[in-house]
Amino acid sequence: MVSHRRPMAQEMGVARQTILAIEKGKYYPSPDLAFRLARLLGAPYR
Amino acid sequence: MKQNTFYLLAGFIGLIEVGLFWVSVLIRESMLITVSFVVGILAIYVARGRISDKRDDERSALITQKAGARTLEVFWILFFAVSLGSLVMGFATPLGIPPPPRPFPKSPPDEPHIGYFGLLQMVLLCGMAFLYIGFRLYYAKKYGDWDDN
Repeated sequence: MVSHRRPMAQEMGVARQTILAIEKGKYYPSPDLAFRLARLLGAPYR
Repeated sequence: MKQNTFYLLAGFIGLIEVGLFWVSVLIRESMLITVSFVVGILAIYVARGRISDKRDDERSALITQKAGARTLEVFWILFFAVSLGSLVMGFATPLGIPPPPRPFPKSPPDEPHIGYFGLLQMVLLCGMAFLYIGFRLYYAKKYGDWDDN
């Protein structure tokens, strides 16, 4: 569960804690980061 | 430069500043610590700009911004109140602030009161730093815990 965060954070150019905070719903990313994350994860976005 | 190297360098500069403060007290030269403090902070800012593995991102920027704004929001009241008190002391004489005595005292003046005012300012600044750290911890907790897994 933890292992994906470090490469994802590196890919996004953010701290690992930021990915963790987004996963826990404690931090809402900016639209730019949200779109980049969705693109990375292959999730649909509008 | 790595982030940890930067922290080591900042700590080293801090130690030098403490030493220079002591030296300037011994030789009674206030300009020594004043100038060296400004130079030291500039060196730290330059070094900070050269960190290669910077960990700042939008979340940490938000935490810094919120903590800074909240600290200022609280502390400007205290600074303003203390400054008002100082102004009252200055204007308390019948003709306002008296002219400087002649010959003007050499630096540093042999008036301990000015030093006490500096001490008061230092206490306020240290309080401000502690409050800022407290707000940083609060907002870091609010916008996501530290790793707990």
